[in-house]
Amino acid sequence: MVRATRRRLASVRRSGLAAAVGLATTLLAVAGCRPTDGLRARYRVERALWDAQRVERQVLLAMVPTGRTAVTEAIAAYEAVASDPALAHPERYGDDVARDLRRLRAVVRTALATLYLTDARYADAARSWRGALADVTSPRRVVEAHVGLARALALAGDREALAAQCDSILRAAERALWSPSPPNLPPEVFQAPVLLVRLRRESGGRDATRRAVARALGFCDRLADALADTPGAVAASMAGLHVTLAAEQWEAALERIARLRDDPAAAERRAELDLVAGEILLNALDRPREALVRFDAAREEGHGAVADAARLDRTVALRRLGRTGTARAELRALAADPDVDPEVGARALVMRASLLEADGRWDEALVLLRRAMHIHAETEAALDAPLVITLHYAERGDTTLARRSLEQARAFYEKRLARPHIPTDRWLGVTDRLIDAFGAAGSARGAARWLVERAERRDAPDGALALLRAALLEADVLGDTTRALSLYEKVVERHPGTRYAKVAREGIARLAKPPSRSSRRITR
Amino acid sequence: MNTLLDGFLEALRGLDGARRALRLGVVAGPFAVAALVQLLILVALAGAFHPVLAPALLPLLRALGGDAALHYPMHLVLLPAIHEALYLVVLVLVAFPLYTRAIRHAVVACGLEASRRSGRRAPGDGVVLGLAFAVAAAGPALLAERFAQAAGPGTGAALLRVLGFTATAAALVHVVYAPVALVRWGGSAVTALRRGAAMARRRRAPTWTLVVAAMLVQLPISWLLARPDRVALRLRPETIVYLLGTATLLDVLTMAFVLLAAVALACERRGLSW
Repeated sequence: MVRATRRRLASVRRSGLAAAVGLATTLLAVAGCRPTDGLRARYRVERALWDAQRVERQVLLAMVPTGRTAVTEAIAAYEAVASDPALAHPERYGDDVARDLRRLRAVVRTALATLYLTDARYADAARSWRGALADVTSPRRVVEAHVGLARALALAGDREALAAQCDSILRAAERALWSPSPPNLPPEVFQAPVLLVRLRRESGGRDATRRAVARALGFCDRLADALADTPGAVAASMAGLHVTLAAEQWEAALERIARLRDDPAAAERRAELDLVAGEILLNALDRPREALVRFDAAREEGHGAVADAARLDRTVALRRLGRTGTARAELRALAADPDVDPEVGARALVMRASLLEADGRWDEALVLLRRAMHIHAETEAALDAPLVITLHYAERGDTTLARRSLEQARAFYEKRLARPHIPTDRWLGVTDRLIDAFGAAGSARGAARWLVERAERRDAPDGALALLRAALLEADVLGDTTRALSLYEKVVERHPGTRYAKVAREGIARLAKPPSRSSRRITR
Repeated sequence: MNTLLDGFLEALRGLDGARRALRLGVVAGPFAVAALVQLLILVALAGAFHPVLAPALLPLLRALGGDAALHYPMHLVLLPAIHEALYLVVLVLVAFPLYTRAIRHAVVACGLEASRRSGRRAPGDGVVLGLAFAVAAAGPALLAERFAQAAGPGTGAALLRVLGFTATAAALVHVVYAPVALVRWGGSAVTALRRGAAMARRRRAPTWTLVVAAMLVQLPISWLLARPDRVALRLRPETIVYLLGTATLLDVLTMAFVLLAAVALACERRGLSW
């Protein structure tokens, strides 16, 4: 028995099995000495992140507009990853793993910030972006995080912090440009200097605005120099032009346009630049003769919408120069041209109608306005037509016709609003004109009621904006402070942490403030 | 045509014989043990990040798959390649000695005489036969894949892959009877390989049918496992583990049927059966 066992053992020893067992034991012994906590923690986080990204992909790929539940699920998945203790203290592990964990934390925070924005949790989004800023290292990611933070602050209505963030974007972009491998900058970087100037003009004093303009222009010029001979250089120069426009520095804007026109890289935008120069000369500097030259140049060099817009602006310049007959003839030609841009065609019809109305030829004007409403119903210019009709009858004191045209206007605007997935800007444009039509027909109460009813059917931001407009009407036009206060409170309650809530709180504060001594004296 | 039909029918009879042989515990046992060992290795590799296994298996993963194998989901995407490397080792060192043992039991159970010498040297010779089997199964396919990748996508690559498939089948046909020859007549593993090749030449049609059928059964799952990144993205990375588990079971099962069918055909010539 013993001999047989020995023989078997010897056979096993001869076989490769013994070698394999020996190798495995040695591996176990060697490997057992090495710590694996960091590797396991990193793996756990990566796995949870993969699952969260899968949920997020389902949200992004959803064919129907994403429901709130799907976004909430994605947020919950990412929050679960973010709460992993390994992400809270990456420094506990070795350098390599700690670096990877910080990178993962930045990914998680960035994704969370984007989802918070979708879920209208702007304060949380801003917090997440700030967290991401602490972890991102690549220059492009730093710029993107600043841009994301700026977007969250804009939506939260924190204008002061937003202005500071715009400044941070400029600094981060400059740092990125001078880094060893300059990245492609996101397009928002070119909008940041313009936004900075607008914000400072709205809230800051004259000095603050002057400093912001100098900072923004300096940034755009440095950016254009650094990006020389690339498409980015033209974008930077255009940003500089928009800064001067936002600052209403018209002569400086004209100088920049002249410089850009001479730049061969901006050759494709010459017509557009001439159009802008013409509009500055016509509307801001009241130099219609020079404007006419620019519009002619834009019409000759450009094509499509730019050339059509130049033709339309030309008619305005001609009227300013007293050449009304020529202007009328050109407007007629524009309105009759089947190839013209629909927006310009509709605008030409409305402008012609205004001229005819001024001449006392209302019946002919009405035909043109109705044609604009039928042929170019979806254009921005056609939205003015029902309002012009209602205003005409209201100004003449014809209450019956004013009410009837208000009904027609309401039907026209509501048909436009009934379109699915209507963008907020368009929704606001249509709504504002309908409110004006209500106002023209002397029915501000009806407008307020219509807005409140609409707010019930629309989510943020349209619902919030409808309530804010209704509150403004109640307070300023109808004088019903109690009703206005309740509407403002509804906005704060329904859309907390948003810029709408901030505006509503400002409205509440304005209404709650006791009238000043001088105004009390006047009232008495 | 008649030869082909006869070969096909003979292969079917061989498979039926293999099915009957697998009902015997002593024959099925070694195959079951081989499957269990391979599944355990797969489970260990898939769960390598478990606190108990991590100290031993993470260095092994790094050695076989590089640093990428320590990240999710690359750990699972690289798992087929890592598993393939270990599978060849396990096939040579563990599975084939067990298969040889099962064949010995099958030969004895059907009434044929088994060489005593082969019984004593079974584990060592089984390792050599396993090596020959591994080379036959992986060698031509790997070479063809290398050339196909160099050729780039197109008809050329597809033709090279078909050529690789045929070469693998041809190589397997020549080694499939070697374990039976070893058990029946003893001698060295090299002699068994030579005798096995001679047996295959005598039963060309049924042997080719058996081997090609076994390879075709495994083809869909092998095709999926050759694209683990797409499986991970379209389904879930964990699906790769389930696919590998299924592939392992299928591999042992086809191996059992092919090897035992070869025994059944040898028994049938003498009018013996289980």
